[in-house]
Amino acid sequence: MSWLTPLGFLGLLGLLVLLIIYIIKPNYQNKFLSSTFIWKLSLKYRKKKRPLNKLRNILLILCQILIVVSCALILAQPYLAGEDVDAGKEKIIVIDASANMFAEVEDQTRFERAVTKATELTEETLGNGGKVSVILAGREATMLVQRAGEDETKKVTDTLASLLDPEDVKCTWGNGDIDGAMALADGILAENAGAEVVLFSGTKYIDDGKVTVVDVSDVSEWNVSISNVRAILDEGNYRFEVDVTSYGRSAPVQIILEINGAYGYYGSEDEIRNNGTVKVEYSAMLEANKLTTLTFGLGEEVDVTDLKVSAYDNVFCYVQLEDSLSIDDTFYLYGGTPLPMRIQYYSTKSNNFISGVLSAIQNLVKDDWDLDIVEIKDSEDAVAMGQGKEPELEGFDVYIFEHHMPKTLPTDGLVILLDPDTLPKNTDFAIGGLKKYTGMIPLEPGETHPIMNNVNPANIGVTWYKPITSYDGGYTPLIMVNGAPVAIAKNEPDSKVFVLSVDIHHTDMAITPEFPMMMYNIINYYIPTTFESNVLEIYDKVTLNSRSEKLTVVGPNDLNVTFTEFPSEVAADAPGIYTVTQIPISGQQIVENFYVTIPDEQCNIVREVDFLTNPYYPPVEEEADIDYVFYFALALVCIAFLEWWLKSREYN
Amino acid sequence: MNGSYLNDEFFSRLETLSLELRADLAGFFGGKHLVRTYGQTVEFADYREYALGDDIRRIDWNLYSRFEKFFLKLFTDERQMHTQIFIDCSASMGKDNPEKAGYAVAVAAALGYLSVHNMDKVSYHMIRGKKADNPYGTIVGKRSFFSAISDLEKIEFDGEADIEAAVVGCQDTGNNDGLTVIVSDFFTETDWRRAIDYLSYKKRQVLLVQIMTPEERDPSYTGRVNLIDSEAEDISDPKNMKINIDLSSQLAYEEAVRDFVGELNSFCNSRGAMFASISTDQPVERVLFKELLKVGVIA
Repeated sequence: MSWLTPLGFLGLLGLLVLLIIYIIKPNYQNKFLSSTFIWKLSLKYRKKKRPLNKLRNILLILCQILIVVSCALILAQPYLAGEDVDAGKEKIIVIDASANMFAEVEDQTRFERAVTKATELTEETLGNGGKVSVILAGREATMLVQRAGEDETKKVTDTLASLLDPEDVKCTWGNGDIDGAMALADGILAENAGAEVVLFSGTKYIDDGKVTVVDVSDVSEWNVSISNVRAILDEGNYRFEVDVTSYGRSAPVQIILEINGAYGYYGSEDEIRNNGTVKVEYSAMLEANKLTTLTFGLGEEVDVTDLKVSAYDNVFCYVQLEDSLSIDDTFYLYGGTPLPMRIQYYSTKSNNFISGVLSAIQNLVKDDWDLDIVEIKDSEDAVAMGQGKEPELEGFDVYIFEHHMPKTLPTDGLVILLDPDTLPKNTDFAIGGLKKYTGMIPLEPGETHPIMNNVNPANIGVTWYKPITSYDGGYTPLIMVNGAPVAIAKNEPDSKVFVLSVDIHHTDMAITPEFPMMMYNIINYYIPTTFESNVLEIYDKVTLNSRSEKLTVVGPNDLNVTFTEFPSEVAADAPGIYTVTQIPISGQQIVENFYVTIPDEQCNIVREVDFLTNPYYPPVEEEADIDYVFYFALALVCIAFLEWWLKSREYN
Repeated sequence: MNGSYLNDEFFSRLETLSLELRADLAGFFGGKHLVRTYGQTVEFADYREYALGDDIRRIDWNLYSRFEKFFLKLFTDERQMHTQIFIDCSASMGKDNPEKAGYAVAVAAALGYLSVHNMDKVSYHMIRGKKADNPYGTIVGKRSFFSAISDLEKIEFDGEADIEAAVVGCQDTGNNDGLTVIVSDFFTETDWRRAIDYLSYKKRQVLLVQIMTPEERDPSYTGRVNLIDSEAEDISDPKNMKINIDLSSQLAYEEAVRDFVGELNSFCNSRGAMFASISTDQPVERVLFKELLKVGVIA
């Protein structure tokens, strides 16, 4: 409680007057009466039975003292200062830790400038007796310091200094959680609505509301960003498109495109490369803050002509210059060369239908897989006479055996058995005798399985089939006839088998889309692509599939992790190249890469945002000073009433 | 003295009343009070056998015819009593309160009138200091009475009164011969109890009449007051007192009055005396016809 008019305490001099009044007792009024005999008798009664009378007298004096004191307090105009609404008293410091804060000028990044300015503001605020809270708006907003006072100055400055530790970089490569930081500020504003929220950021806000935004960018900052590189196959040759922007200034930029593992040339056909590197350099005048797409290829409508590449392994695109943010000066494009997949189709009653299906699949997955299909056609008679061809039992990714079965099943790839006449030795299922019908019998669905996606067995009819009478527990029945399975599948690390005990010739599969779809599903199920895309944005989750028992991912920030259960997920927590290595059953090591970029908006170091999400500011009117004059006046009236009551009790 | 009650109307109302005295009093010959001793009245009392020397005219011959023995017929006796009325003439009884004085005189006059009306003797003793003056001597008969009370209204109430000394020192208190009335407020430091003991020793019937004003029973004044006693000689007299009268003081006063009157009553009861405490705010007729009737001294 404070006093607007401390001189009002001079009113306490009234206590002296009160004391004088009590010291100089008033004259007694003479009262003539016949006898004081009874009054003198009453004295002993009074002393004996009224011991509280002294207290009553003290109460009267106390009441009068309190009345004088209350009057003095009222004169002094007491008030209780509300919660300090002065914005200078408490600061909520929010440090933007977005990727653009890595922008650097003269060996100092935006983030370092922000921390330095935040430290200065902290020292100034705490030096003035205020409070400081520090929130780091990184990938997730974090409250580093909450409402620290002057006595915690060292703790706060140490915390801020720790943000600049080169061994433990706190700035994120993605978007900073500014909204989350403002939500954290809500809690502090709920306690002190007058606190000032100060955001240290390089991003410009057109409407920053009540938040004070301190711009930590530098006018000399600029950034050339390669945001994307695309390879487009056009008439057998690739055309490469590069998205590049110069933020902050217009400038001539030299862009270099290195196409590795290429088959093609640049400039002169004499310089054709076969599995070599084709390097293209191109200087372009980039307009400030405008996305420019440069095209490298053949033809007249491209920026760089005379580039003819029909195959490549990967593309490395980069600019050679000194800008403020270097992380986006390079870009890697992988996936130029599909992975090989060898398929052997062996049949003693070969048919064009299955060959056609394989060709269709080959075309369908050509971006991911380079299918090498080897067909071995044999005749039943030759086989019967012991003059049949011997199919390969190793070296393929997929083995398809139709009718005639090998003696043993291959173990280094997927084995598809179609209408097996006999069973190899190392099978773990049994097939019954041939069932023949004169009319079509519709197939029935078995258990739900990825292989049966978009496949409706009821659309297929059969006249002949062999029921699978028993099978290992690892198999899943997929298609049934009359309650007996005719298609089963097993996917174990050392045994990948699909069995269809229906003769293609005695079904209507050839005129339905079910069988091609099922074959496509089989390839995807047993031999999935390792990941979906070769270009990812930071903090994306990458789902990994494997054709082997284990898969190793090596990436930035010393990432080296091996997975044994699939599908697995790896987080792309740092920008850069991630290498995925696996060794399938065939023993041939497969190496794939994907590249992780930072968000485009973070490359834009001169970005302007329409509005800044503000924290909730509670109304500050309720925190106004409380005038206590009314309460003291009320107390004065109560005390005066109490004295009157005591007096009335005394004389009545 | 203002507030006189003594007039013809007042005394005429008393015609129907009489003093009710104890029957064991001896009294004097010639009165109208029936006593336990046998006498010459026509009021039959008892029989006893004849003895030598008895007056043969009092033999009941009817009984002789039945029992062939001589029995005398006895009759009650009627005696004259002596009513002594002590009036406290101290200042507290009327110096500053004529109504209280007039009330005391009226009570004394009424009792005196009832005495002479019943052929008794009456004497008034004015207690001043340690003495009790008897200015009118023994009054017998209404003429003497009315002559005396004409002066009774003129008595002055001043100074102090020592009831004990005045009563004990009275030359003619008598012995078993009547009623002694003390009219006072009994606001005295002296031991009035000894006076009652003395009168009891003298076998007199005793009546104490305490007269108090309404303000003496329930004072209405409050605050810081200097209480000046009417009997005080000057302002510094120790009888005066300074007091801050508040609620507790008033409650204590009320309790003191209650206890004081109660003590008077209980002491009188213990000594066979009668006691009446009356307030001057009551009509005097009410006192005579109710309060004194209630204590049994008037019938």
